[in-house]
Amino acid sequence: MRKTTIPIGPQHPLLKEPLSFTLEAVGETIVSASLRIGYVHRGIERLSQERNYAQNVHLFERVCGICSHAHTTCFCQAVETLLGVEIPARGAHIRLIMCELERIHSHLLWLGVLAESIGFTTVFMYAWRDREIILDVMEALSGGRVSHAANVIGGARVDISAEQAHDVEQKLADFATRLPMFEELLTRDRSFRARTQGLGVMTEAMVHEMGIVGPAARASGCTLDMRLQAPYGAYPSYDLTVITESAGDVWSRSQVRLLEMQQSLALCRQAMRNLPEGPPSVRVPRRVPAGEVVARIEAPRGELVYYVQSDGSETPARVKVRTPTLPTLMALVQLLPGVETADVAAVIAGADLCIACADR
Amino acid sequence: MNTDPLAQALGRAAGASCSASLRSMGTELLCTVDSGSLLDVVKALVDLPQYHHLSTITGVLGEGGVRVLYHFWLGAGLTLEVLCPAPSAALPSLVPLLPAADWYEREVHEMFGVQFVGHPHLVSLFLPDDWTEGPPMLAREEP
Repeated sequence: MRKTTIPIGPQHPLLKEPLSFTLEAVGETIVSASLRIGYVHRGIERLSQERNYAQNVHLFERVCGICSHAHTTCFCQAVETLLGVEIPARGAHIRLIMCELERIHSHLLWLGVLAESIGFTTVFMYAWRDREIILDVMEALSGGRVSHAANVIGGARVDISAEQAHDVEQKLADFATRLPMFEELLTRDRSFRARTQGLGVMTEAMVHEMGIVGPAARASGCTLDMRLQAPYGAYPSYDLTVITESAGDVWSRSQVRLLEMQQSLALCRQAMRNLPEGPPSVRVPRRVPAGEVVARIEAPRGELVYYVQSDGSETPARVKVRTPTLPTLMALVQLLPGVETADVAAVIAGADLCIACADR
Repeated sequence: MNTDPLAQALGRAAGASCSASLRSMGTELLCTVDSGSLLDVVKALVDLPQYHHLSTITGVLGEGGVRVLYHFWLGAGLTLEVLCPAPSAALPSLVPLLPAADWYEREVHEMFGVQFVGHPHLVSLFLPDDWTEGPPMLAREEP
């Protein structure tokens, strides 16, 4: 039978960000897939060598429009290790609250994109409607919906007043009433299960071979979560469990994310109530002692890695960013062969890609 | 973070010369390996029961060429450092051992010009197809 080539991207209604798939199909079945990325490569790592450390916090915030706070947290953590600075407990708690809020809104964003890709527009609408509550909270705390600028080297730029904490608690209590509906939908809805179960299966072997991290790895039975394996910031003060599933399909990934949202919400509310007294940040010197360091945190999509090298000046000698989408993208090319053309959108959306993150 | 068990395991797996160069890098460990024994050390790492994944590969411009850093996660962070004397010098590719190295080696190749021998498809990853200015991370600022 004749092969048909289907180009998807770099600009395509299926994709939220630019990347380019070239799929070959025989009949309705994909038989091979290749991928070209780099359409939003901005040379951020090279540019960081021209900026001082304080400016770089804002530069790395712009690597990603979804997990922007995760990037600044990881970069600040790396620089603080080089400086030998321990940030105040209050600042560490504010970072944790923002990180967990970001995880919830990122997971809801993913759910909406996935639902839309399988034609379940109602869930897309509900997920993005309720995501607004979280974005409102993040805006109330930091002043920004996308770029929060909540971190500085040495702690948190923003502080949370008692009045703000009260408002946030009310909004989060409201949000908590929305989650059971998603649980009902994702766990029991027949059409959602029919479109996602058995689809885009990442095996545990594939996870190890490709170095896949985050909810995608945990949905395949892997217990990797940097918040537990390398506890940082305020995380050691809280009880967390690793949420895993075993099937490795798109449905399992939705279950992992659902439970993670519940855990993140509980963690946020607990941290808001336990906010320690004191300043949110400490002042740090502009010059960073020579040395090199690797920092790892658990971003919404998994392990985020920053390598920072300092030559003792005000600007870093080298910064390297590895975002969790990169290994997922490598694996995605292997997931597509064998998939029906009607399911391609769900496999791509189900991988939870962030292309701006991957391209830098 | 307790990295002692990792240091012992590395000593057993990769030999005394490798574990002798083991030193701390922030909260993680760094170990210098010569390019000839890189594959053996990585094979030993991958076979360790606590091995998890290769996080990424970083190229860093140094005094005598390019330093290539392989960042692993084994329940604790471990970075292998290989010195590449000239930017266009060759290192063995990890792809046959570890498919995860594929794109990371392509990135170091396009940004620093390092050749990875044995890589199945060593072409640009992020740079445009018509990029002709050479590896961008090697370019120096005009005085």
